[in-house]
Amino acid sequence: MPAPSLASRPFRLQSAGRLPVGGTPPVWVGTEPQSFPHDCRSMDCRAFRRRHLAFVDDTLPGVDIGQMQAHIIACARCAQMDLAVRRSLLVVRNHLSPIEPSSDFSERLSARLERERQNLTGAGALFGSTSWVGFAAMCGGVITIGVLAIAMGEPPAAAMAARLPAVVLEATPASMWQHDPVPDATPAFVATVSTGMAILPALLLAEEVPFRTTANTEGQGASVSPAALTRIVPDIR
Amino acid sequence: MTDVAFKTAAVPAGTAVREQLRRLDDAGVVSAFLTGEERAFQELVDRYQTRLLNFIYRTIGDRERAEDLVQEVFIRVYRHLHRFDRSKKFSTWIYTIASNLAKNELRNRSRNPLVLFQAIRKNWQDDDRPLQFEDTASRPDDLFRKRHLRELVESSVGKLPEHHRQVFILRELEGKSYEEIAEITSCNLGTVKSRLNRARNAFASIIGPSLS
Repeated sequence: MPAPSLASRPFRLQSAGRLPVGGTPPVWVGTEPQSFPHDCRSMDCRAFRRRHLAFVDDTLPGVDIGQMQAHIIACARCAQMDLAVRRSLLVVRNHLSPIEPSSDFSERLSARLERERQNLTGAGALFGSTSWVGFAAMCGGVITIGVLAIAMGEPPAAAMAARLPAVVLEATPASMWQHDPVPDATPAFVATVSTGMAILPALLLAEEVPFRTTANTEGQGASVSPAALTRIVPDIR
Repeated sequence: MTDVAFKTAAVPAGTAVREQLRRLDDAGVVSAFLTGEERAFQELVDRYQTRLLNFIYRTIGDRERAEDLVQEVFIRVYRHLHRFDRSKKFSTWIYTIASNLAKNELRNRSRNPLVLFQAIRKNWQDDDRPLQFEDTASRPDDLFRKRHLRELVESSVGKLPEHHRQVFILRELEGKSYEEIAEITSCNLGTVKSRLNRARNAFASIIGPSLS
């Protein structure tokens, strides 16, 4: 005897999903009613929609499929949603015909692949682990470029001498030195102290050591401090 | 296994090799290529060019650009096939590359208004194209209906948000499993299911009024 269809067979809805709290699960015996209130029996609409993906794809277990079908019969809104989704998917599968690549697609791809092949073989020849010749050639190239860069960065000494202006040292008169000694705290020194960094004043002092020692050892009696008291004057002659 | 089978067989020339390659699965063809059989790559191209073209075209909506991107996919496959993990499915890997390229294209397009002009130009070309009678045996109203439905479906798919559209195309048009889609789109399984569910509902609500 063939199994009766879902629409006509005796129908028992089991509790599943979210049921209204505080009542026994509804049970129908006989043919199921034609319409149910919206928040209906076997599962609530949220559970139905959550499982709808698997329901359409036929990946639900048999028990769940029965509950889903029961919900569709009971809930007009979910039934409409299910119908709309199934119809739209049917349209997609039937009416979206595949497009074919254009006639010159293969030619263009072959040309690009050929270029790629050449690039790969070229790079492989140069950078391949067994290609010592390629490696040596690359090293040689790098060294040559380095040497050239250094050579171009440093012009000959004669050219430098010709280009730089000559300077003459002019001694400052002793009277000037006596009235204008090297101060203990130069403006630069004061500025660096205010930054709060101890290293900068220390460096400044270290830089000034030759001037100060010269001034102290020779300069006490001497009239000229060679380093501190010279001015560089460009030779304009 | 297929690799060994390919290697141990006598190496016939030309069409016989192609026949032999055609009988292999993707893993076998990949192995053949990696063992030095250049013709195996053409077999991969033959297997995937139409599928990838459709996938990318449905995702970005521009046919010419889709062809360029499919070519780019094959170039990348050619370049990096030696790095492909052969314990995974080749189709998933190649679709992942295609998906990433399509995503980049959409991202660039949103930044570059010139591409919008290209999309408009494509439509002009469609208008300028002379009418072609697809099947003389069919009735004109049938032809019109089919064309109308196809355009309707295409435009409805195009209206889906990008991340929903991609999942929708992979599932409904390419027939990929949830797990494959998750791998291709670098999402977890729950996200894929959720997106697909939303995409289906959105698609139904977009196309529904036109169908009824």
